[in-house]
Amino acid sequence: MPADVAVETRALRKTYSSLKGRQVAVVGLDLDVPTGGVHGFLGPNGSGKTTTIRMLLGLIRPDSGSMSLFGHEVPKRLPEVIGRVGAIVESPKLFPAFSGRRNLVLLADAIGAPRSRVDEVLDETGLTDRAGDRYSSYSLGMKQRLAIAATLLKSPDLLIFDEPTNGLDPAGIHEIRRTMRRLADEGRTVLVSSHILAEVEQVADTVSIIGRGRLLASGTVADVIGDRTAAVRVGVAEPERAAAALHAAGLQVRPDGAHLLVEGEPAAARITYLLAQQGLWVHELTPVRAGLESVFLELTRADTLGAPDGASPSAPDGASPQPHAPAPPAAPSPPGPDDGTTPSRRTRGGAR
Amino acid sequence: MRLLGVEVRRLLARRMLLAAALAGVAAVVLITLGIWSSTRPLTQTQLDAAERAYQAEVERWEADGDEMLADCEEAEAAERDLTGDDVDFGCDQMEPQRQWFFPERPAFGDVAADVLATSSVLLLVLVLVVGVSATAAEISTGALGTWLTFVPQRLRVLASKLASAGVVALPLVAGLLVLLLAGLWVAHAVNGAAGGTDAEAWRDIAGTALRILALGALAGVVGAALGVLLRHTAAALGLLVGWALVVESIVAGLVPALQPWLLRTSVAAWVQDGTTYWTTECTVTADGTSCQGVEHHVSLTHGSLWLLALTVVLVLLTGAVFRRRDVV
Repeated sequence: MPADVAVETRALRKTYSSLKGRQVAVVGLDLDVPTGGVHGFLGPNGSGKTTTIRMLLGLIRPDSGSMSLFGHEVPKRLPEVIGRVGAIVESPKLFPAFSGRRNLVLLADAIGAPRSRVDEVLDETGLTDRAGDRYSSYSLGMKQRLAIAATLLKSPDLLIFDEPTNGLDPAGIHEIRRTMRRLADEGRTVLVSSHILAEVEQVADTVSIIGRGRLLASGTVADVIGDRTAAVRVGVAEPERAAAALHAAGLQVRPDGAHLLVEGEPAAARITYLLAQQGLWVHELTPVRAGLESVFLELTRADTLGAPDGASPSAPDGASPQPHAPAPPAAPSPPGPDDGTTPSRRTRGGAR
Repeated sequence: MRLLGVEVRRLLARRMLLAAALAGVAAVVLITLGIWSSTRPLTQTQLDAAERAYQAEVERWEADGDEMLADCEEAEAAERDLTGDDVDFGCDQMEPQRQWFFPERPAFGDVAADVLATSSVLLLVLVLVVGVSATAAEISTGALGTWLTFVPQRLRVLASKLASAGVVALPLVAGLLVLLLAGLWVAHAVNGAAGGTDAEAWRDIAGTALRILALGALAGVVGAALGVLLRHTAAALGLLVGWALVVESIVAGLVPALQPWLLRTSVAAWVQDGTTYWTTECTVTADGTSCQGVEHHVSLTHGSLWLLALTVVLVLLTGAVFRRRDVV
């Protein structure tokens, strides 16, 4: 494993068995998280993000595949590297009847961290004043901050946050985002899983998108988004007639103030051609750049619709999942013929 | 040892331990009141009533005693002829005795060890609940998952959790035993029945208390292991209650040969330095079927080794399950 990779998984697979049958949660996942910066680990609910994180932390056992943290094979050598890893999996879970400070003291003692470190991390997360209160009396935001404080007890090189903003108010979300950025700027690696893309886009340097337990795309945010457009903003003299003409041609159109917004990945040339045919002259044609969310939606929607064998990882098994055949990163696609909307991104798993 | 220390401090800070201690104190107070009540001297009214009952029985004996004695001896002879055994109906002990109506109050030294042994069941139940809840609550709240992200060595974590439940049981049980003994002594002293406790009685009391203490530690470990295995306090306690009802009562009644292997027999053998149980053995002769109760002895060694073996099996099973289990 290269020295600049904090987390690596290869052909990782996990199936849950229950009375209802077997459910495949992760299917041959290849994941690389580079050292340093914030890495967004994105996917819809049930796509296998939390399962992957739990496997990395030794909480659940993979059926097959390999994983490593900073080059240490896990779970075999997890004890050697766990001191460099702080993690919050799903919601923060500490002892509810104990105060925030007592929770941290117990954890600090368990790993042999000095008691002074408890005061430091409480101060760092702004919880000093409430440290003596019972954890169960904390708001969700405070619980999240205390959990972050707990992870900082180790002075970790890698922080794993699983859906850290779930249930938080906007101020709490902003604070978590700021904290993640600060930690990354200190030289740590932050792996944050989320299904709320707008948040991650604001803070992540690199992302991996998974769907149904498989990697769909990964790379820097800019690479994944590419130079695709999500829509084209059209300024035209008679917007209502123009909308009808475009709609008749099969394009998705909606009003945007005095303008029209043609959604999807429309070719600008086609829009001008269609409108010109109607004697409508365009005075503005602005591509609206796609966000991570639209790329994410497109990838995950395509993954669902394009399931090659109908085997849904979340469906009760019997139906076997798609065999994993890791593909090398795809070469950047050439630009589209005339609209420049084809994305350039690294994809894996043959899902695209 | 560091992890054990952390776990012990965690358990000592739990409210469940405080609740168990308070429940134990309440039980000790009730037992002490019961003992105080039973050791009180008879009131004048009670003495008068006892005297009247004794006199009435003496009068009845004087009137009908010869006839009652003859009936008894006749029945005894008939039974002897029927079975061929040298049966004794105790006919020569039928004459009313004064002490039957004026019972002697038990002295502290005569009853303390027995009261401790009887109360041990309550202490064990408390310790089991503390042990079960210590681990099951941690699992059900998800705190165990967080803990494992700090200390991922599962067997080390499990060992610290089981051992800490045993360690924490010691001060709880010891405190309640001391309180109970003090309460017993005060109850007897108040009623003037505390004197005359000789060295042998004290040795008996100390031995019983120490064995209960050791059993308390074992119960803590067993409770914590059950909590890990079943993950829910209610499930673990339900299993214990179900075991007591089904195996220790119903199955044991149907299969008398299980008696020496029952938990209650082993616990009694350990706490009381050996115990006995009865079975009914029947023989078929030409005259019919004859059944009689037979007393069996279970030694302290048997009880202790069996309890230890069961605990070891449970701990090994828990280790095997916990090592591989997904923590979600």
